Amino acid sequence: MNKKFIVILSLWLLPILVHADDVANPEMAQLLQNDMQEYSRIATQTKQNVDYMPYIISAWSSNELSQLGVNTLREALSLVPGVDLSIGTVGTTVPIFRGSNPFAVGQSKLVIDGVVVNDKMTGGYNQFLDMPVAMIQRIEVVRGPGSLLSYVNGYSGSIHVITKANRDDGLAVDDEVFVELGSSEYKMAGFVTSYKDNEFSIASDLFYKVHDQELPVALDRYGNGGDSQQWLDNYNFGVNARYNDFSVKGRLSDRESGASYGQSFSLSEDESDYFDIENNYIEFGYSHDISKDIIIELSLGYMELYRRLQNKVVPDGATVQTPGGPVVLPNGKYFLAEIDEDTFYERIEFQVSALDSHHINFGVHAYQTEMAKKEGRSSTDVMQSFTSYDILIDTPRNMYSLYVDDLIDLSEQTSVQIGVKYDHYSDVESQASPRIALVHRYDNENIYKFMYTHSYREPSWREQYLAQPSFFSSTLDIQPEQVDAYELGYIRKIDLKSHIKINTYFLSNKEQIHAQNPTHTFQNSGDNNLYGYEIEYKNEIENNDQIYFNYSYVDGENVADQKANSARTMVKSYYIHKLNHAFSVSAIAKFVDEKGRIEVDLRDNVDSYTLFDLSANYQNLSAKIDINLSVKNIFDETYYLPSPENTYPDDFEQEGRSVLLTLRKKF
Amino acid sequence: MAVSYSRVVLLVVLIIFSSRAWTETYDPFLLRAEASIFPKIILLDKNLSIKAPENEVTITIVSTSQDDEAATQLMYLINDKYKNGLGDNKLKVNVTTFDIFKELPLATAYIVLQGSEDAYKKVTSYASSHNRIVFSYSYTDFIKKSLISMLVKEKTYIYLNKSAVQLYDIKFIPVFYEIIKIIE
Repeated sequence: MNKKFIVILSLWLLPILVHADDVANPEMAQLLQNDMQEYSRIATQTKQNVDYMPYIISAWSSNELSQLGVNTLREALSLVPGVDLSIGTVGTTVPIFRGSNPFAVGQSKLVIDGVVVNDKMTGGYNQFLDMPVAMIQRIEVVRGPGSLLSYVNGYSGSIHVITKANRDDGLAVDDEVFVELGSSEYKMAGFVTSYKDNEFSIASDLFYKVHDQELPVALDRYGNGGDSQQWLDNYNFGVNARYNDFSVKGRLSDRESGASYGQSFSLSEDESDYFDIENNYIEFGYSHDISKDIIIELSLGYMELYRRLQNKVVPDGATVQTPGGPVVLPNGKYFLAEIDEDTFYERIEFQVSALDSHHINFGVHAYQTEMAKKEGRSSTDVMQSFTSYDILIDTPRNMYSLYVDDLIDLSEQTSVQIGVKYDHYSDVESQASPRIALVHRYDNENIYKFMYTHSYREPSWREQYLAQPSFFSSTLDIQPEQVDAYELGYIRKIDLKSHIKINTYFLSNKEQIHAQNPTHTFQNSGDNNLYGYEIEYKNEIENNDQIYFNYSYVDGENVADQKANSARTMVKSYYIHKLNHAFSVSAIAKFVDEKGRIEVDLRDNVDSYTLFDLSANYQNLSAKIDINLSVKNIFDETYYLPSPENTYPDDFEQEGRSVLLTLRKKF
Repeated sequence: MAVSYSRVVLLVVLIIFSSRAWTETYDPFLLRAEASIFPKIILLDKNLSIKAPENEVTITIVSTSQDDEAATQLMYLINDKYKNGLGDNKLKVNVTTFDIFKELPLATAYIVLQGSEDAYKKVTSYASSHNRIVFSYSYTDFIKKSLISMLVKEKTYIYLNKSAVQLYDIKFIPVFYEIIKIIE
């Protein structure tokens, strides 16, 4: 009886047991597929799989940069292949990508946590370039037009900054404090902090820095020498919060500095002169999975930018040209500016992966910008009385953009990206920007890329709307700059941690905008072609050493049949050697070739230069403390960035040797 | 100080080629993905109940002594991810080296980090003879007869080593074969 019962029971249970396996395991298989999707998403979002994406990208992590003693976004950009730095008005830094129009400010876009922060007045983003690396999780730099975000159109490049407070790799945000002390009374302190529970998370960051720097000037355009005031007083406060599908992110920033090389390229002896940009934004977001294959994203934002300037633009006793003839100004001339930009922006985007092998993004992006304030004042009696006027012709700029792109996996080895973006402006000719890119993974070691992109840069307000001639003048019916870019890339993965990347490009630039003419008038100044190549090599050796090297070459013309103000060749490299688990040393070497001038500028070329930085890093993993001591420009090389014609005859001398101490503590 | 760029290039090239032998290191992101994905694959083995007595899945991570830091990190990641167990099973993760891996009890599955071909094959031979899965950190170790690996590129790929399938004689539930790529 018992035996019979056991046999019957076994026969009854067996299928149940077998079936139980079939039921439980498919659930696990589904979880496995979810994991695969999740890691693909994170890898794409955090550019872990950057080599397989249809762009030429360099990605840098904060940890890597910190070990090298690189402490600001500006300094990090100086390591990127093909990127050179130049100086614009009031000492603002202008990154130049692949030698493309060095006199245009907004050819590259800066995107912080998904928010484009280029201003409308100049197109620049200098106000964020002192952001400390300690606050940044990752920097991704796309060289060439297009952008990692469908709604952003870079012209020559785009810089994507992901702050630690907006960490997107699925890991918790570490609480962290950091302090930096350096030469010329440089001081900086800040923190990153976060809170998270199941449905709600919030993270915040803050830094405040001061720097009392002066740089020597031999002669300005009035024949005066002295020191340019480069002092800096800068803070930045950011918040990112998320509750279920809703998010809000905002940033308050203020960067006040000395007048540097001046608004109109003359040296001011008044040390109270200043240049202040306050830039604040807030963005509300909503992201929802409509279905397994469709995601909707909505965002609504507001950005304000206040620009304040006081600058003695003409020295005492100088002669200036007026419509009535030359006039001597015994007390010189002050120029004060108050320009406010208000921008509302909106975006709705759908991300669809419902069709086999297709990843489709489409959406609408719009902004409405107005010149909330555009007042200029000048004084020829040491600011006892002023003449007021509008700096800009009041022309609000509204834009809406329709975009769609589809990343199609033709096979496991080959994918194609096809996209187009149509931008309609209220005050500039509408533009369509098509793009087609192909990535072919011949095998796991050899990857090939081809990209064609058409893009444009809309004129900035100062290029289009200056109300009256001063140092610069503008052209009301100016046309956007346009580029057709053809890029080829090859990546050879030597092993898991070493690779060589080679890419070559041809840029057909049209309607280039600059003011390199006798009247300093911003105008479309013809077409030109640039071509070149870039090589990157990276290797980690026995877990103890890391080497990185890049070489870039660009030739052709960027200004009126000349290649001016940008280096033909650049070499940038670093080496990190771990002495043990706690100590490492590193070195950076940067070579920038000589730079030519525009045709009418008869000065000698700007000299080439080579800079070496050395750093020592101490890391205590258990105490979560990092200490870095770095000496920058260790050989105290005297080097110069180019000045425009008839301004500073001896160009802009840059900082010599400096020391920086950084302390970081995580909790 | 004017230094010609050719000298800088030469200096860098000299540094590169005077370096010691190159070895491979570990991508933290890939380790994280493997820590999450490999244990789930173990549950898709049709004969798991035999290999996980008393509902305890044991994973042994094998590495060289130089790579013990990466192995320990992987163990922490797995333990953190599956602190409440693996499905209905308890989970135990061991870390050992190629020299002494046999001193530990037979595991449900092995994850093997980088190692010499001889050392590696001792693990794959031992595990395959007991029908235990060997996951390799890199699919490039398929030549050393590991069974499963993965790669995160534009997508996440799980690879099954075709040349080792018969050797291991492990049967997975059918849906597993729809997810993975079979390569040699």
